[in-house]
Amino acid sequence: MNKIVICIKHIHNIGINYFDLYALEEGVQLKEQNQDNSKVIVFTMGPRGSESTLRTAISKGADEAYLLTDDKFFKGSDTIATSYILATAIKLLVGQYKIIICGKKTYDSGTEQVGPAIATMLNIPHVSYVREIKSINQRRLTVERVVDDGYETIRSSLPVLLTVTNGVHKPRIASIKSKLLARKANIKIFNAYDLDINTSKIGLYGSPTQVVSLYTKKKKLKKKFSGSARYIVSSFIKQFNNSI
Amino acid sequence: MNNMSISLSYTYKGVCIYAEYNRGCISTTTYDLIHIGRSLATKLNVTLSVIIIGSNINKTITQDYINIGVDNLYICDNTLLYEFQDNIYSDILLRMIQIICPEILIFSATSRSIPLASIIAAKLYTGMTSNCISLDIDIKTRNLQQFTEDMKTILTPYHRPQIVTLRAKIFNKIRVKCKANRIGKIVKLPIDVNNNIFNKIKAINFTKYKVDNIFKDLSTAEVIVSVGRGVRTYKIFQLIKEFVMIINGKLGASKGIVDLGWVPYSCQIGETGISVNPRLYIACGISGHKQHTIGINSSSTIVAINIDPNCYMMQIANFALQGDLGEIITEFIKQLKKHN
Repeated sequence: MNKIVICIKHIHNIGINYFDLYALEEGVQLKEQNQDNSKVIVFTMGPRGSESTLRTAISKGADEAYLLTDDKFFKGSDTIATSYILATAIKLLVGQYKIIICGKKTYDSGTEQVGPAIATMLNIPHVSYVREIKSINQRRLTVERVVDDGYETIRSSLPVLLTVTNGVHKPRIASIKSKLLARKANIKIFNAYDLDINTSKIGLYGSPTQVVSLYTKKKKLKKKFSGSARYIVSSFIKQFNNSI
Repeated sequence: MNNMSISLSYTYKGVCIYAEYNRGCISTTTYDLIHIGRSLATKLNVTLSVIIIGSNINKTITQDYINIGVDNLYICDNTLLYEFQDNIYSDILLRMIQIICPEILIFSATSRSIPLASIIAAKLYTGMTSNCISLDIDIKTRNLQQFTEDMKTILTPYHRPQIVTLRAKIFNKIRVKCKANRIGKIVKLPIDVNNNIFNKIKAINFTKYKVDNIFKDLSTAEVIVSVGRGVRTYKIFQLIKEFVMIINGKLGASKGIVDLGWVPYSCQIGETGISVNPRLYIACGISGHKQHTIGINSSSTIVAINIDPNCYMMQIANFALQGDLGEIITEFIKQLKKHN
């Protein structure tokens, strides 16, 4: 059996993260294309309330859902610590898998790190910013990805981790029936103890980065420039670069 | 645990920059990074190193970098490394970092460097902050203060190196002090060609964006230049297109220009078109009727270029540039090209 792992994030007051919908859709499409009883397994790490996001994922085609939640040890984890928790859980609870798919970034913090960091910790290759899976078989896949200056085609062996952008497959809308079924679905819940995780590396105190303060933006500028074109442009660039 | 990390942090010294090199080209953001890295290194009284990985690395670049303030250059040059491939580069980069042991490691925030930086952060289990807009140093604790776009200040107090990816300046015009024939150290490292990662992953094709891509994906764009009736001639419109390419932006328009057929309807901004929320919105010859400004309300910084200082767009702009549009755009192109 081929296991397809999807990592998603629950955003407070919004629900499932935008790019994660595309990750999920890509995974469910892979399952539907291959008639070989593939399974889509979703993971999320977050507070208990993230359960609703996992049910959304089930209503859109996921088969199994895992919630990694621990108010004492997981809370306050930064991106590296979060990646470590997810990688540990995937290793322990899934074992062998064909592919892992994540959204390219989250809408609340947008660090773009979690995908590549999970792949590194699981010791598999990864491809970021994928917009289309061109072909896939049992041993390798070919994908197209978006970079700053163009499109790149990459061939990789399996297993591999992909982070996807809003690509060719539009996320599906769940039917009423599947929504009702998802309400009753079994969500498996794991904490730090269940995963046997090294708690000195995670949470508010174990995370390498610490948010120390929030700064407020400087007052909105209103500046006017006139004169010769040369003067306008050079003084604008100088002031613009100093304003941020 | 934390005490141990603190004492460990003293063995990490110096500032290090990763210079992105892909298909024989150095990234233009590197000068920016060197400028910032140099000032951090001077404040900390340590050396500044630069790492370049690629194929056929240009010799004049290396002396240029030393002249503008780089102390040590670490180079890995091999034809197998022609295409940037983060999974492959990361092994080499990690080896170099273990030799250099920098306390600060800076990448540029591009679609190639961010995943590479993430791999390194994961391998070393250290802190990384993405998309910083500026950096400063706390001399006493030697902690790097990392300022992000969502207005957080982030520290990596007990782990080294402190990794950041830094956003490029939109108007890339920093002048770096240059000293001819400055002395620096160049270290060349071989690669391990037997590494089996070469069989695992490979870039097989690359298609560079064409000009038309300045019309794509406006709703998620960071920098948008928008044209209105004030553009007057097609020649000035072409100049604006060139300007958009230089600052890596996207092109939008008011209804009048879309009606002329110069810009596709998908780029029409305002009531009858799309809403945008870029970091920077540059309105060229747009007077700012309500039907247009309704689509740009959430832009963080608005720049207006217009001949009429009293029009609505010039009143709401953060930067109002009053003058002839053609002359100002020509001047922008001239000044920005000079630097790059």
